[in-house]
Formats: sequence, C-alpha cells, structure tokens
Amino acid sequence: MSTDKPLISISDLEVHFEDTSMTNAMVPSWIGDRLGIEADPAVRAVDDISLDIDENDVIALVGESGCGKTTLGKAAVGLQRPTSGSIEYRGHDIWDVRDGTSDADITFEEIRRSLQIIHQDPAAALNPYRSVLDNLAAPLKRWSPHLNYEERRNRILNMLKRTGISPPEDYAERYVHQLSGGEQQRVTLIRSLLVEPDVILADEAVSALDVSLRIGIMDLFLEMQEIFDTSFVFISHDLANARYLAGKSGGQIAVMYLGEIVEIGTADEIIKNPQHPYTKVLRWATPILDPEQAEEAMRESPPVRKIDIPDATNPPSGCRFHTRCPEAREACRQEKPELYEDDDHGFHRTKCFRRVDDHEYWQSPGLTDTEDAEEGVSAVDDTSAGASS
Amino acid sequence: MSNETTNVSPNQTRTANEPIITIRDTNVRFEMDLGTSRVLKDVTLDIHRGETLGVVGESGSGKSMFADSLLDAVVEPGVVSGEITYHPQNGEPIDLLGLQPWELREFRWEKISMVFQGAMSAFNPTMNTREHFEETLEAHGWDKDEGLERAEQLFTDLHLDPDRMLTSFPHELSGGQKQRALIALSLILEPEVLVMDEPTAALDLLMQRSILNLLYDIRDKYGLTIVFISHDLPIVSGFADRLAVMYAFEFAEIGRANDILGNASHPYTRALLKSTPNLETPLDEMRQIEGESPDPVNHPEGCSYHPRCPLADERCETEDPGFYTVDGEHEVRCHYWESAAEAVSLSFGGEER
Repeated sequence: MSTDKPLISISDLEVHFEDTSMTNAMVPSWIGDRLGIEADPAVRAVDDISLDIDENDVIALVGESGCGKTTLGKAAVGLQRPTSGSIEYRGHDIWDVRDGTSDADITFEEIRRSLQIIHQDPAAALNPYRSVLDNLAAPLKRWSPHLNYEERRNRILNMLKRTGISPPEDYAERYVHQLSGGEQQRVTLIRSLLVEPDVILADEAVSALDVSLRIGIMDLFLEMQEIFDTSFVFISHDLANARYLAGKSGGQIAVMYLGEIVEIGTADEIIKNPQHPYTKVLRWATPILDPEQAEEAMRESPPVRKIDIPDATNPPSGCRFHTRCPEAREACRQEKPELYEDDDHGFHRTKCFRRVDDHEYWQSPGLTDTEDAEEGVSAVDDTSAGASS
Repeated sequence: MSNETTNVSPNQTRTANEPIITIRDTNVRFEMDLGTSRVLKDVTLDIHRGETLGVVGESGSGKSMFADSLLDAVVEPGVVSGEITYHPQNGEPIDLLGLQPWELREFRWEKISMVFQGAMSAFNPTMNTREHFEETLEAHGWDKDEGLERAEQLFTDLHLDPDRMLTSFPHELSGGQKQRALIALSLILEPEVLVMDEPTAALDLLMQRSILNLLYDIRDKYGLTIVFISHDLPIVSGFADRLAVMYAFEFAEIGRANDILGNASHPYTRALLKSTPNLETPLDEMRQIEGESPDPVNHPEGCSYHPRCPLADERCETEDPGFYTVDGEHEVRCHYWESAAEAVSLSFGGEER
C-alpha cells in the first residue's frame, strides 16, 4: 500500500437511480412503447463529483433533503455502486475488487471493514433483543476471531468507559431500550470503531438527538478521531453541526445541491466567507442566537425565489440552482459552471459564475420567473417565497 | 414581505399583557408502581393575548405535558391538578379543567388548537386534503362552503396553491407542504390560541425557517396567540416574544426573548445556550452540559438543577428557589442568579452575554 495516495479517491462519480416500478420491470419496452407506458426518468442523485478523503480527515456534507448527500456518502464507503466514475480505496478501485476484476491484494471484505457507517436512528441500528455487550461482540467475533470471551468483554468495557458510559459493567448488560438516545448513539459509534475502520460515514448521526446533546457526541467523534486516526464523512442538513465538527478538526465542508457539490472549502471559509448563493441560503436558514439579529432575520424573506426544491428526475439546465437563485441570469440557464478555485484564504472552490470576474454572466440579462414556468421547471412548484410582495 | 396587515409592528397592535390563558399551580402526576411521577410541577404562568410564547427544554423536561395540559389532553392515567383558565375575548372566563367531555370537544380546535410534530402521520392517507377539511368542519357543525373558502385563503397565506392542495392526497405532498397544510387545518375553526409542539422538528432547516417566517407574517392577521414548543432554543429566537425555559418539569427562567437570550440568568439557560451548535459562538466555547436531567420519580431536593450546577451550595440542596425578578418581566428560579454570568461564560454576536 502506498501512503501518498488518498485514503478514498472519488473521481467523476455519477449515481443514477432507474425506474424500478413493476410495470417498467415486467412490460418489455416494445409493448410499453405501443401502450404509451413510459419509464420514469432516472433520478440523478449524484452527478459529476470528484473528492478525496485523506487519512485523519473530516468532510462534512451539507444540503437539503434529496440533495444526494447520503448517496454520495454511501458511494464513498462502498455501499452504493456508481453508475459511472470510480471510487478508489488506497489506490484500488472498490468495485473492481468486488467484481474480482482487480489484481489488488486486498479483498472486498477488508475494504468493507475499513469503511463503516453510523445511521441517524441508533435505536433501529442496534438489535433490540440483545444486550449492549452482545450487540458489540458481534463485529469482534467476525473480525477478531482469535479473541476469547474475556478479552472481548474487556475490550468492550474499555470502549464503553472511554466513551463516557459508566458504570460500563452495568451498561453492558442493558438492552437498547434501556439507554437514552445519546447513549445509544455512543454504542453505535463504539460498534463501528471496534473493527478499527479507516473511515466512518456518520449519516445525520446527531440530528435525532436533543440540541443540547449534539456537542457531546461530536466531541466524542473528535476524541475518537484523535485516538484512532479515523476519518469522518459527516452528513448533516445543519450548517451549525458541520461547522462544529469540521471547524474543530480542521476539516472541510462541502455544500451539495441537487446531486452536485456547489461549494467546498475549509470550515472557516464556508462559514465566514460563503460565495455560492445557495450556501448563503443555508446560512440564512441556520438560526441566529443574537436576539436583535434574529428578529431582523425573521422579517427578511428567504434569499431564494422558491422554497421548494425542484424534481431531481429533471434537474434544471445550466446551473441547477438557477430556478431558485436570487442572482440568476440568462447565462446560468444555458451554461454549466465549474468549481472555480479561489484559495486566497485557504482551500475554497465555488460552482458559480460570479467567481469569474470576466465571465459573460455579468453581461447577461436577469431571469424572470415566467421563463422558468414556460420551461415547466416550476410548474409543480407552489411556493414562491417573497414573490407575493 | 409588504403585506399590509403585517407591516405594523406586532407590539403596536397588541393590548399590553392582557391574559388569554392563566395557569395557576398546575401539576401533572402519574401514579406508577415505582411511586408518583410528577411530570409537571407547580407551574404558574400567564399567556398574553396575541403574544408568541416559546417554551424550550430538553427531551423529558415536561414541555409536551405543558402543551397537553393547555388542552386538558393529558393521557390516562395522568392527572392534572391546579387551575387553568381561558379568558375569551368576550364572555366569562372558562375553567378548562372543569369542562365536561362534550364541552371540551367544542373547546378544542375552536378556541385552542394544536399542531403536533408528526405532520406525516396526522393525515389519513386515504383522504385528500379537502375531505380532511370537510370532516373537521362537519364534526364541529360549521358551514362547509364558508370553511373551504377560508381554507383557500389560509393556503394562499402559507404560500400553497389552493386548487392543487385541496385535491392532493397526503402522499403527493412534501413534508413541508404537509406541515403547512396541517397548520391551515388547525386554523380552519378560527381558534384564538395555536399550540405547536415541535411543529418543524422533522423538517429541513430551510423549510423550518420558512414556515416560521410565514407564521410570523400571518399571526397578527388571524389574531393568533401562539405557544411554540421546541427543544431548539435558536429556532425560536427572533420568532417568540417571550421565552420560558423548562428544566425538570418546571420553568427555570421566563422573560422577554431578548432578555433570555441576551442576558440569560439561570445557570441552566446559560449552559443550554453554550451547548447549542450555532454559527456565532467561538468553537472553543461550546460545551455540552455535564450530567443528566433528573428522573420524574426521584426529584432532587431543593433546586432541581443543583446536581449539575457549578454554583450549587448547601442552600440549593435544601431550599427550592422561588422566582427572583431580574428586571421587569424577566424572572429566574435561582438563588444565585446574579453570579450566573460569571460562573457560565457565554459569548455570541461578538459580545459577552
């Protein structure tokens, strides 16, 4: 294994979900055509994403429901086969290894072990019929078969203690429903750590917890990262959580919109110097503590032309955000922006023409909502925030 | 938004502190094998006509019990005691806890209505939105055509397309649309008070904020008093006129939202603010709250927060603090509130708080 390669390297990733409805699966296409049955278009969950995850790295994926952040995360840990593009683990294409078409000296099982996932709902992720000890013993039995019962138990008790669950002997005998939400999430974290993974995908792992418990769990992630050198891909719809985890670990925040990364950079840059209009929307949506500023924000309309997200089966042309973007112009509808580089204050990429000083965007006329309606993009969209004023 | 009715500052249109609901020494108890579980403790509070009151607390702090008792809807075998009085705009005050079941049926929805968290499960999947509205109007003996007209107006105010909404089935709507439809449904019988229990918790932040924005705009138009219950302190910041912070089944601190956020005086409120992820507080200053909330069966003696409080001494272990007045309407249940700012430092918006 070479060490200069990134741990996970994602290039030109696309994940599309085809229509798997019964009619589509059972009716041959020539019959379907005659009867006028059309397959629903594929959902383009992830489009054209390249991303590296290094050792001991933290990447926070942020975006609304349906923006593809979970699909990207799952693809990154080898749980979702890409439609095109590749995902490499230490230089080996994961799906080539899976299909046996790779000459790598690593098995798919080993890769799967190195890439773990923590789900949003810990109660559903743990086996309710087994004690905490038995829940945690399962991965050890699978991956460290040389350990005897006593050794396994000691290792588990040790981890319980380390993650602040005490007394561990008492908790080890409990069942899942006898733990609080925060404790359950700690147990799922231990379960994934026991197999010594390289990357843990934490999918909205703190969103279901009370606001007051989130810092505690994220602190635990950071502490475990320090001890075990684990990288985290942290998925959240909440910019404040992403800021805490990525900010404290010197990681990155990637903002996703309709399957694409629209802005990525160091936590500081994304929070303090957001460039993409969509990142600014997410920032607006994040509640403010300061009472005067908060009241002011409450009087402002959201900085989008529409609240609801367009259909991912038929994403808008050009820049996908142009149907909601307050800054959109004609150029945004016709041409697709790239991730433009701007590293003056640290790593920062933005997929917006406004980052290019001499782009034709600046000469292009503004967009009106009627034009979108003609295209049918917003025909099903009932909400036009601020448009009534 | 420059809607005429909402352009006036809310405070100008409201009578100062006229109570719409008064709550006196209200308790909720559950008798269990382990002993008596007190899930609401000696709550005394006035809810003012036209205000938005934010009730904030962690899971299991009793905030949902508070909401349920406002409608006398605490589930069996819970027992509500004390006095909850509703003061209608015209007419005699109504003793809520003394109402007969048929009177309660009329009272709920028409006077006080409630929006729950699970918008997804509040609708019947086999009925379209119109049928839901018709069912409600019929059950309360209201005129259907007038009611549906009102529904269309409500939809428009909530930025929903009335024609499409009325013919849609629940599965055809997004989470945000369903939640807004539920708000419209809860307002169809023109209640004076709207109780919202974590109404936006399952939604994306952007949708949450947008819905609050819409509520902020329509509350004066419909003459609403809103009781908004949430575990998320910042989400109500800017939306609520007053905030009441719950800890261990009682109110720890009550006051104008500006005072609670800008000058939090209970060590718990300060710790809660410090433990809330946000974009303003320096990263190194955010901390989780140490310890755990108390059990409803085994309530600590004295101040219920003393086992977790950095200021606690012997007095706190034995003497239950009453409310101390910080300033005007701002009241706090802590013997040592004057030292709270020093004991739990807090800074956001570029200022020490």
